[in-house]
Amino acid sequence: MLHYARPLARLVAELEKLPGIGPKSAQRMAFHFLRAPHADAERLAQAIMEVKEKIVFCRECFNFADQEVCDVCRSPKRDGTVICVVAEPRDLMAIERTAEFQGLYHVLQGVISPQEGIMPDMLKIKELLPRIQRHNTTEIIVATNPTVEGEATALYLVRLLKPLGIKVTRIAHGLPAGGDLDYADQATLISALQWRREM
Amino acid sequence: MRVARLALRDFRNYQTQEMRPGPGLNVLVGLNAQGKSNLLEAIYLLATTKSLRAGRDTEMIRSGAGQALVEAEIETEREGEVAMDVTLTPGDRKALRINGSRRQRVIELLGVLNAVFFGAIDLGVVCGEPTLRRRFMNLVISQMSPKYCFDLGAYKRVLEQRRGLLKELRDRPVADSGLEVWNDQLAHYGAPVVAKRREFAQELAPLAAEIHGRISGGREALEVRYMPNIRVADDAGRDGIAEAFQAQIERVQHEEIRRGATLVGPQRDDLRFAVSGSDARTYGSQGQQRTVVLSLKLAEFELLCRHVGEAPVMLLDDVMSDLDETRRRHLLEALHQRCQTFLTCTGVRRLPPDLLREAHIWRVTAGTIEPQSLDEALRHEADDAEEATVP
Repeated sequence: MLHYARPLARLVAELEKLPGIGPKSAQRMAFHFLRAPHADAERLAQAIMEVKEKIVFCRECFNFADQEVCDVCRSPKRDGTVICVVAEPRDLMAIERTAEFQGLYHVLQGVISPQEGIMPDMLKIKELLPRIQRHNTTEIIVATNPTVEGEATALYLVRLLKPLGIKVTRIAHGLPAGGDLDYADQATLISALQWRREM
Repeated sequence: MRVARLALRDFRNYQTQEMRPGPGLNVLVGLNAQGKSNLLEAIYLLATTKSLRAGRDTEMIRSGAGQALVEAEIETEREGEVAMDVTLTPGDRKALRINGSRRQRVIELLGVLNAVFFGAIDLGVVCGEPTLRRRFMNLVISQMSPKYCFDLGAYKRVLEQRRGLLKELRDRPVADSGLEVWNDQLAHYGAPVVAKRREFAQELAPLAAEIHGRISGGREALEVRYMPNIRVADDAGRDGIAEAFQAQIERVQHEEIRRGATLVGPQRDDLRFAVSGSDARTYGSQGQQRTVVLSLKLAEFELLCRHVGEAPVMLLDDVMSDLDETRRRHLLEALHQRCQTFLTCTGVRRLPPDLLREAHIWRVTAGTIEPQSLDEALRHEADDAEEATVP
């Protein structure tokens, strides 16, 4: 049986550990780096190291940041009376790309999932309360996924925040904008019907 | 609706086979373990996304093959011709396409093809464990209501999460565990499941009673009753059911934590069949139980006809040998010229000759399907019988 030279085998093995990468892709990427200019490989290696060294969690909203407080939380243009609660930093990025939301965010770093041992106290929930006080927040928008776990997390926040007199809203779920009713799957249509609004 | 073409690749014991079934009765004849039931299972898979047997979906892939494909052309009155296929791959993943376009969720398949399966397993609906009766309800209602399927899926997910939490609470109590949230969710998804099952039973009961009366010659009366675990008034709406659900959860909370399981809800529902007042499960004779099963299956057929607006495909798996002459005649006459039927058997001799003459006969041998004339089928059987008597 033929083996790769040891350094190459090591690279393939490391790449295979990446999410969504199987043995075939790992091998293709490894060969790519072999052929690529030295500088390319160095840039990638540096980028990976930089992420590890410089990225921290924002101490305000728990988004990724390269300083103690992230860009959104530092911006004077953002309105702290509305805070949008999301599960993961990637959800924050998704909403941020719309350029429509001017409030602040709060990243829970997960959703409640007892099956996987994730209880409410393991999420960044209690950290939300002092922020609400500090910013005189009047509305919390819960933007967790429309899954059983995302919904449970939303309900938990409602139970926690409603008694404090804070308005808690949930993002709508239903049809994609500009979409075709005909192409929507049944689960989405069911939810669109359930959450219909009066006009 | 009917299956106009069925093609299999690496499904169970079939390598590649294709058939164009007739519009009425299709008799699949062959010795045991040749693949007759597997054909019914392929059609059942397209209708329900489920296997007929317990176990993993992967088991439907022919051993040694990488994936299995079931492909069909369906003719429906509502939508004309529909092409559908399901690909099974290891890891219990299913990929499906309808008219060539890929669908993301398996529940999108539901309602394209409707089928009623009737086989040995169905006797369990009357005399087996409650889980078989819940399975019966789930399969029939899912074919009529995708929403039910969706709610049931979410409910099961909540049950799993809640079990995780109750076990955690048993081992180390926490003040703020979020249990109330899971209670809310349980009631939220459970209430529509209960409401739909009640509606289903209310509609099924008179149909089954009428059919049962006909088969038993009016001598016995069948009563079908839904036995929800959540006690509610018959006229309670979804909100009423959800409230009752919440109240009952609270009452058993301590016990639930001690046992680490959800103790109330539709996962403990049952159906009760009474023949002339006494429970068919415990007091019924075998003959009575078979009549109940037959009545239920024909009622299921009628119910689907009514809801879908056209007759479902009927899958009869080796039921002829279990039924006596009268019941056999009732079954086949109730379906005659009303739907496409697939019937498996080891010999055609027991079937009514007049129906056989109109039927398409298929000989199934070790994973191959061949059309056969009635004369050929009868000759084949005579040969088999002769061989069997030769010492």
